[in-house]
Amino acid sequence: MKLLQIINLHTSFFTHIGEVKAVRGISLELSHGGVLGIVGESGCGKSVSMLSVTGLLAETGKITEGQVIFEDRDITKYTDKQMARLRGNEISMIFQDPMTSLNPLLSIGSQLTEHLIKHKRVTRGEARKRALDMLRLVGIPDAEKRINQYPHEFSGGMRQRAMIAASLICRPKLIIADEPTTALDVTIQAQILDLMKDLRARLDTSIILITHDLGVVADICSRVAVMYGGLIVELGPARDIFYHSRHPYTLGLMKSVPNPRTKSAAKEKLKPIDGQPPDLFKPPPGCPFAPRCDYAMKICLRAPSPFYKISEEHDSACFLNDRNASVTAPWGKEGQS
Amino acid sequence: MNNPEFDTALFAAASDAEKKTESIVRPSVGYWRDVWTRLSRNRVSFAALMIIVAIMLCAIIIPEVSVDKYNTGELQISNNSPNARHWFGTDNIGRDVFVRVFYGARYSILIGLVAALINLVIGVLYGSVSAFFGGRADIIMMRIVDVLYSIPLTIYVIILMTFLNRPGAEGSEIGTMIIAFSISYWISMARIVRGEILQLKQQEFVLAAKALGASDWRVLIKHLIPNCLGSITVTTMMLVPQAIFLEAFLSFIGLGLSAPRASLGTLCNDALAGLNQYPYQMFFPALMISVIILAFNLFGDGLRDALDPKMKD
Amino acid sequence: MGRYILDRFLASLLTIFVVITLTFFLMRLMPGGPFTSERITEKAREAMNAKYGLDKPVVEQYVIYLRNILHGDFGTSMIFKGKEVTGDIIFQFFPNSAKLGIVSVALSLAAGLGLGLLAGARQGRLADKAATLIATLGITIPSFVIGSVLLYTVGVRLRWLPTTGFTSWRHYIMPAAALSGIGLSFITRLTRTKYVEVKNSDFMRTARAKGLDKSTIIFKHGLRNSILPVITYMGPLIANVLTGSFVIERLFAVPGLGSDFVQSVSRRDYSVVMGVVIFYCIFIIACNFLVDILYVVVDPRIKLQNNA
Repeated sequence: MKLLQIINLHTSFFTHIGEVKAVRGISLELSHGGVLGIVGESGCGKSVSMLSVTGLLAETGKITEGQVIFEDRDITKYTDKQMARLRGNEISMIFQDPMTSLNPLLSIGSQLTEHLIKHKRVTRGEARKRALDMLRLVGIPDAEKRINQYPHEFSGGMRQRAMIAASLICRPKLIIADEPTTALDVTIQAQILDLMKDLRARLDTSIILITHDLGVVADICSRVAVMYGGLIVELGPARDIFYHSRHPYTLGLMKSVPNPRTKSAAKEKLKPIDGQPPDLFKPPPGCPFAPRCDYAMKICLRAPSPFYKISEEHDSACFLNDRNASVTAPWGKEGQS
Repeated sequence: MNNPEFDTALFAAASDAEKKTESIVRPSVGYWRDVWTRLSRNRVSFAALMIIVAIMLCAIIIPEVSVDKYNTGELQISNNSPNARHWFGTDNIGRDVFVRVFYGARYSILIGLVAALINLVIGVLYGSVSAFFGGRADIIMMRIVDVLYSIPLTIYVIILMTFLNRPGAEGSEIGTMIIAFSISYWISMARIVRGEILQLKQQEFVLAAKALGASDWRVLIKHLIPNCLGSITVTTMMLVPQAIFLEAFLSFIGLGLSAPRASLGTLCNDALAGLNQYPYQMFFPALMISVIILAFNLFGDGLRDALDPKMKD
Repeated sequence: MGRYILDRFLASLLTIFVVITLTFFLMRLMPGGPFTSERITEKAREAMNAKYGLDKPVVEQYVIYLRNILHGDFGTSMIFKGKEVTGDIIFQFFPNSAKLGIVSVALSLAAGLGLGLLAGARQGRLADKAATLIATLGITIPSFVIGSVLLYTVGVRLRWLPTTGFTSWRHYIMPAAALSGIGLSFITRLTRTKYVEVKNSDFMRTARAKGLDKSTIIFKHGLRNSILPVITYMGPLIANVLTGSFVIERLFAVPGLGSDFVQSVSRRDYSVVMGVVIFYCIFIIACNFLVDILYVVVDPRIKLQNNA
């Protein structure tokens, strides 16, 4: 049994100027103990798809089609109350900005224990004890003193550690981390990632990591989904995505970030992807990346590409993988099926 | 997953022109033009603006052209209820309330506008000088504002009115009232302008202007104040109803214009004694005050939204 | 914290001193005096001036006045022929005003916070529009108009509530309602605006992501943060209720300090006016001081700024 299955999920925002189709049919799976990375630039639908899973969409947002199966329960059919029982308990989230994600007026202790008391019905004393343990586990020194402090007395990295502690305190089966390191200094980023890796191994939770930072993905994820324009464009094991990508967008993404791990970094210049992501008020009929793609073919502008199977676990939604493609793909002619 | 079949002709390279169809271009529009478009699209505040203009015109015209005069009445028709001849009825000495309401609106609006304008000038000068020159001057100037701010302005105006108003000097109340308002109501304006300029001062264009050799005053007047025009306009628009409100309030406690002059506040005050028998004498001027203040407030709200769309909801 | 309170206390004292000085010199330097308009002989006027110390140099009068105020002596009424001591007037009438004021403030707070939260939570829906309309009308319609309309309809026509006097709880309803109009409107607006901001903030999303109950999210996380601007507004609110009481007490014949103040103003009873003004200022500055401390209690971030 899979821990999480997302089947053909569509999410739209209904604003006063019309419908924004933020997620346009994505399917994903996550097994117990797995770490899945979702990569893409801002507005590609990666956060929205995960907020859909947890039922945290803004008022205007709605799942218009598809299912989310958690263990064997279809949670798209859940009521608000049922979802609330799941959130923070079995599925918890960590957000991007630890500076604003904690309530400035409540003590760290109170923010660590409120959902524990609700979901697990423990006493205040017991909750406080567990919160102290958790603070120590995430590496906050002097927990006895820190637990009574307020968020403004914590540094950014410490706050994110506190957020992680809060998300773990109910021992959830799944943690969804939405850009957990983006707002932090580089050195702190590494610490937080190490912490997450360590805790995942120790507490046996699954993680979905949303990020635009490929370095983060390479570090910790076993599988990676690349999203663009509300669609998944490439999906596969992290190794395949990094070394054998079969999608021009993924390749462009990798060229546009400095990556000291690849040998070519020294020789090649950084290459930004020209142009703008598509307007999701009126999503393009074809591949969303086609207008920015150097290898675009006529068909790319007309129909969305189906998934081409590259290997057992690696899929790419790009027509260049078709044997009929007249344009030479950046990865060469070989392997077109 | 089975890899599907497609028409092979479609697998030819796409031209740049074909790609271009996807990009979206919007024409750019100037700031004030944009403001006007947004404002006129906001039906509520546009209607409010029309009401303000209409009331102002009526206040100017009606007391002049009407056969009934604001200061003369006939005792035999005193306290008549509203009727076809006297739409809003007559007061206790037979004066036409309809004419008197519009006559009163004259003074209410006049006081409101003049007070707002004077406060605008004082507030903008005080706030911008304080913010721009900063340092010790700023600290002292803001301390003064803090002290004034902690006293309820109405009390302050009442003291000024009491002491400035020499009994018997006819018509001196309008001047007194405007002076009293002007000494007190610029404070909010000064604070807002100071806050804005402190922010603007940090921006690069100020440094650029200084680097090009602009003098302090030039930077202040040519670069900083125009950039605060939005909030200055809105604050001024909000000062008008405040001043009208205060005038009515003061008149209602007997510190307003003296007869035969009348404002909407004094009309309400005069009607208070006979409220039980002749409620309409209170109703019409009270309604007029409320409509004027409402219209100015709604227009001010709309103006704020139009000037700064970010502020909306 | 202690340092902060001391700072604020000293600043308050300074403000009160400035107010007293300003009021004193305004009064003394203006042309005319309390006895100029009375039809009395030059000699009698001089005698009166001497009696109230008005013949001494202004600076000396000022020192005397300061010393008297330190002893709680606000002087005696100049109109009531020395019978009435200003301090007595204040302490006779102020309790009524205070009672009415507390009821109004409580009403403004309860209704304003409720309406504001409702409007913010249902942003753009019917409830929001209704609350916004109430808030707009409350700011628009002067308190004396609300009072007069209530007085005429509920009091005179329907005879549901007594129109004058101040003896039973029924006497509080109309004046308190009229007085709380403006405060209610401002609090509704402030709460709505802040709640809309808070509602979409990251920490509210965190609270929802924790699966807390709706009521916990709204009250523990939402209301607590939305209340901050309302606390800042408490000072102006109290000042508003206080000045509003000038007309409302007169309208409903409430024997309070407000209506007494207005009478003194129209009679140009300088020492009562001055005494009451100074009393009001001290009262309001004290309220502002308490509000600032309340703010520090609610918002833990403020402490840091002042300790650093």
